[in-house]
Amino acid sequence: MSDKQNLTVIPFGPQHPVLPEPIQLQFYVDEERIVDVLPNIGYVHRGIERAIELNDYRRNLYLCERICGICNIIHGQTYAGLIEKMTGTEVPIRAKYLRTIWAEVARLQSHLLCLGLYADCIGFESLFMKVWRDREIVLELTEATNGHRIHMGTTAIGGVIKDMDAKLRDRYLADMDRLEKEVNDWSHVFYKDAAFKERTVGKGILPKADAIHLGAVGPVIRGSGIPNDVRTTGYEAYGELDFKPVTHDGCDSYSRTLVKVDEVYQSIGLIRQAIKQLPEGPIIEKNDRFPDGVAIHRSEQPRGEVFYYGKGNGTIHLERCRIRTPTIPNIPPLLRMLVGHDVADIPTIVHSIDPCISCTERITQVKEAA
Amino acid sequence: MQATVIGSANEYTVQMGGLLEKVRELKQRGARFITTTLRDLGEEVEVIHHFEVDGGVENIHVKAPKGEPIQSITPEYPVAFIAENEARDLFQAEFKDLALDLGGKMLKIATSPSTLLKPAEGPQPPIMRKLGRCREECPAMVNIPRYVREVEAGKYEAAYNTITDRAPIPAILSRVCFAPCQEGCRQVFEAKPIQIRLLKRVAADGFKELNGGLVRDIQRRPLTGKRVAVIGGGPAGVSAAYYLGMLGHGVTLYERSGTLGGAMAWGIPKYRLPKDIMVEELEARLTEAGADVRLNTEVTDLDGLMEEGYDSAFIATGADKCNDLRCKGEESEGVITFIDLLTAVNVRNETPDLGRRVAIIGGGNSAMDAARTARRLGAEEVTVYYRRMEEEMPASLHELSGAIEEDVNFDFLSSQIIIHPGKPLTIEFQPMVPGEPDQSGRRRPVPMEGLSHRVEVDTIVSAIGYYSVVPPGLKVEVSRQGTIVIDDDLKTSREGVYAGGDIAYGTSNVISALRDGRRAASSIDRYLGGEGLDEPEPDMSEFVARQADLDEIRARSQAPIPEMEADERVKSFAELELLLEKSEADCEAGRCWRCDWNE
Repeated sequence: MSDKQNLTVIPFGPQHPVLPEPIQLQFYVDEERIVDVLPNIGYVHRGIERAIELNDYRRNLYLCERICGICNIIHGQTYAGLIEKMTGTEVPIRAKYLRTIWAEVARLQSHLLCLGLYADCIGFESLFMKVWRDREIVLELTEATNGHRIHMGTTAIGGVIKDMDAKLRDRYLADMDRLEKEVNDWSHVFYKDAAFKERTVGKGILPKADAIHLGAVGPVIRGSGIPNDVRTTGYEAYGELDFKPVTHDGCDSYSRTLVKVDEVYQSIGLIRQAIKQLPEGPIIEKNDRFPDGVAIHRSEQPRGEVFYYGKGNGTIHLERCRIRTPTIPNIPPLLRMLVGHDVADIPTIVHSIDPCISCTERITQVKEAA
Repeated sequence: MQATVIGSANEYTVQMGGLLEKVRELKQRGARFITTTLRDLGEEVEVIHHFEVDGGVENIHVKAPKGEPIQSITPEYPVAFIAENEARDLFQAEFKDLALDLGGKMLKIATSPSTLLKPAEGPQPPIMRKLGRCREECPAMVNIPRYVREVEAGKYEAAYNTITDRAPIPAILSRVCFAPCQEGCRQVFEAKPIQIRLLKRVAADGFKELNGGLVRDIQRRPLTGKRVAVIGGGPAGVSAAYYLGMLGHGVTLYERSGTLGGAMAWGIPKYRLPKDIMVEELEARLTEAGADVRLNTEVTDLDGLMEEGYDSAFIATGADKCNDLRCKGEESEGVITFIDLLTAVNVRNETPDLGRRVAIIGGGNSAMDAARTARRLGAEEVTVYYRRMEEEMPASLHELSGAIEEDVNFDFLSSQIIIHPGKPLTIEFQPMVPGEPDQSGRRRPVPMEGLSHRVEVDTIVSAIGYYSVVPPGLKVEVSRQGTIVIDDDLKTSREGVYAGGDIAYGTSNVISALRDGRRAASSIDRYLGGEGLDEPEPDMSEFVARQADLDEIRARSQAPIPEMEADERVKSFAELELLLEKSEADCEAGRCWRCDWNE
C-alpha cells in the first residue's frame, strides 16, 4: 500500500461513456498496468427496504417490480414467492409454468441487451445493431403478452394475473423459431471473430477458487466453470424442465460472454419446453392470510442470484425485508479481475459482469460534495 | 438453533465471540457468501449472515446490544465489506475488523437522512390509517384502538374523553356492554381477544378516582336558542340529550318513572350494574349538557308538548311489556314476569319472597338475570326451562356459565303447556325434539306426543322477551311490529320528530341505543340548522410508535375476567365483577397489535 503514493490514480466513473450506471472505480496504475482498485458505491441508494416495511405487503409487489427495469418480472416473482412461503400459499402448477416462461423471456431480452452493449463496448457497431434488432422480437412479444414492452406486470401473490391462450402460445413458439434463426446469424461471431477474441480471451481472469470465495453469481461464476445456477433448485416449474447450467471454463471475459450467448439458446429451449408442457388449471390461488414467520427466497436473474429475506409478524407489514440483487456480489470479483490488466481493457472487463448498479442500490441521487 | 426460516437449510445462532469460528467452518465447506441482514430489535441489533452451502442457504445469527461494535466477517470473507458498510450506514452500527472501511460515507446523501433505524419516539413518516376492526364492529364506533393505547399509557382522562366522544357513558358500558368489539379483535382467531370492556372499566374507574367524580369541566358549544324535548331517560334518551346539549341546544328530558336509566335501571341486575354508579354517570352527562330533567313525567300528548315551544323532539321510550307465556293458567297467583321481578329488586329495592323452588321460563339473557336474581333472593332450586337446545339459547356464554357456576339448573327441550294453580304451583311440561330449521336458522322444536311431566314449584318467572307499545298520543306512524317507523336519519313521519332505541328498532342493547341517541342528535342538529356531529374516520393526528418485535406480545395470554367466587356472590347483590389490577391492565392493553395503524 505504501507504494500507492508513487502510483497514478485514475478515476473511472461515476459518469463514463461505457458505464450504463453510476459506480466509481479508482484505479491505481503503474504506467499502463492496474495495481489496485477501490470501489466507491452508494450513489443511488433509495431506501426501498424501508419503503417495503412501511407499505401494505400486497402493494410491495408493485414496488419490487420497479427495483430493476430489466429484471422487473423476476423481482416480482421472487417477492411473490417470499410472501407465498410466509403465508403458506400453494401456487397452481399452471401459474408456475407461466412464471417460468415469462422469467425466461426476461432473461432473453436482458442477455440480448447485454450482448449488444458488449459488442458496442469493444467497438463492433454492426454486431450491436444486429443483436439489438433481434431483441425487438422479444420486446414485441412482451408487449403482446400484457401490453408493455419492458414491464410485464403479470405476477400476483399466489399465481399470475394473465393467462396464455392458444393464439398467444402459437405466437410464442413462432417467435422463438424466428429468434433462433436470427441468433444463429450472429452467435458464431462471438465464438469465432478474431477481433472479438483479441479483446476478451485471457482478459479479466477470475480463477475458479476465487469465484466461490469472492461470492460471484450468475454468468460470472458460470464463466469460471462452476455450474452454480439457482434454477437447478427447481423453484417454479424449473424442476420439471430439462436443462443444465451453461458453463465455460475459460475464467475470462470471453467465457462470460459465451455463457450469455449459450443461455440465449437455453432460454429459447426452456420457453419451448414449458409451452409444450403447459398444464391446464387455475392460474391463481386466493390468499387471505398475513405473512408470518421468517422466509428466504432466491431466484436466478439474468445477472445471477437475487436474494430476498423477509420477516413477517401476522400483520399487514413485513417487519424486515432484505433484498440483495446480483450485481453487488459481482463487484468484489470485478475488482479481482481488473488487477494486473491494462487500462485499455477496463471497459471490456467491467462490462463482462453485466453491471446493473441502480438495481443494486436503487435510484440516482447526487452524492454529497466531498 | 433458531426458529424455522422457510426456505433455508440450516440456522446457527452464535455468540459474538464465536462468530468467526463458525464462519471459518462454513468456509471450509466451500460456502459462498450471499449477504448480511440487520434487524432492529429495539434494545439490540440482530445480524444475520446468509451463506450458500451445497446449493442450500445457511444462516448465522448473532445479536449485539445497540451501540456496541459488531464483529465483522471480512477477515474471512472480504467480500462482505459492501454489505457491512451498507449495514453500518443504515443502522449506524459499528463493525470491528472491517477490512475495507468506507468510513460511514458509503450512503451519505445530502438530500435525505439515510437510515433504517426506527426512531424510538417522535413523528413517524405519514402512513395510512384505518378504523380498526374492533371499531368497525362497535355499533357506536367508539375509537377503541386509541383508548386502549391511552389506558396503556395511563392517560385515563384522555381515554374517558375518547369514549364519551361516541358513547357518553363509559362507566356503565364497561359493566354491561356485550362487547362486540372483542369479536372484531384480530386475536379472536387465537381465542384470546383483548379484554376491551375491562380496559374501559380501568379507564372509567381510573378517571373517577383522579377527577373525584364523573362530572367533567368541559365547555358546551355556543347556545343556539333552540329547544329540544327528549322523551325517555334510557340510554338512547340520555345519549341524545348529552350530544344535543353539547351542541348548544336547550334540552328537556322527560322520564316517566322516578329514576333515570330506563331498561338499564330495571332490567340490569344490581350485581352487574350498581345503581349508584349508573345514576351518577347519567346525571353527570346531563349536568355537563345543561339538560333540564323532569322525572315522573309521562308524555302522552306530543301535540301539547310541542306547543310548549320545542323546535324538535326525540322519542326513546323503550320497551317494557313482557311477552305472554301463551299457556293455560298463566294468570295464576305465583306466576310473575321477569320485568316485575327485576323492577321490584332493582328499582324498588324490595326482596320479594319467591319460595324455595323457582322455575324460569325462557332462554335469553333476561332469563339468566331472573335466575341469578332468584338465587340471590334465597331460592335454593332455580331451574331454567327452555324449549330448544342449549346451543340455540340466545343468552351470552358468559352469562350462561355464570349461572351454571351459581348452581342454576337447566332443563332443555321442555315446553310449558298447563299451569295448575295452587300452592305449590304445578307446571305440566311437554318434552320436545328438534325438527326442521325455521326462519332463524335454528331447529324448530316439535312436541313428542303422549309424553309429559309435571313439576311443582313455588314461583314461576316468565322471561320470554319483551316488546314496546307506542302511546297513541304521539301520533307517529307505527309499524306492524309495534315500533315507530323511522328513516335513515331516525326521522319519524312527523316533521321535526325523531325516534330511536328499542321503540324504533325493537329490543336491542345499550351500545346500539347510545348510537341511536348520537345519530338522532346529529340529525336534529342538522334539522335545526347546524352541521351535525362528525362521522368516524381514521385517526391521523396520533403518532403511533411501532413495536419492533411482535413475538413477545403474541406470547402473552389473555387477562381473565376478575370475579367474586360463586358461593360468595349468591349471598348478596354486590357487584360481582372486579377491577383489573393496574399491572394486568397495562399488560392487556399492551397486547394490542394496532391494526388501525395501517390496515
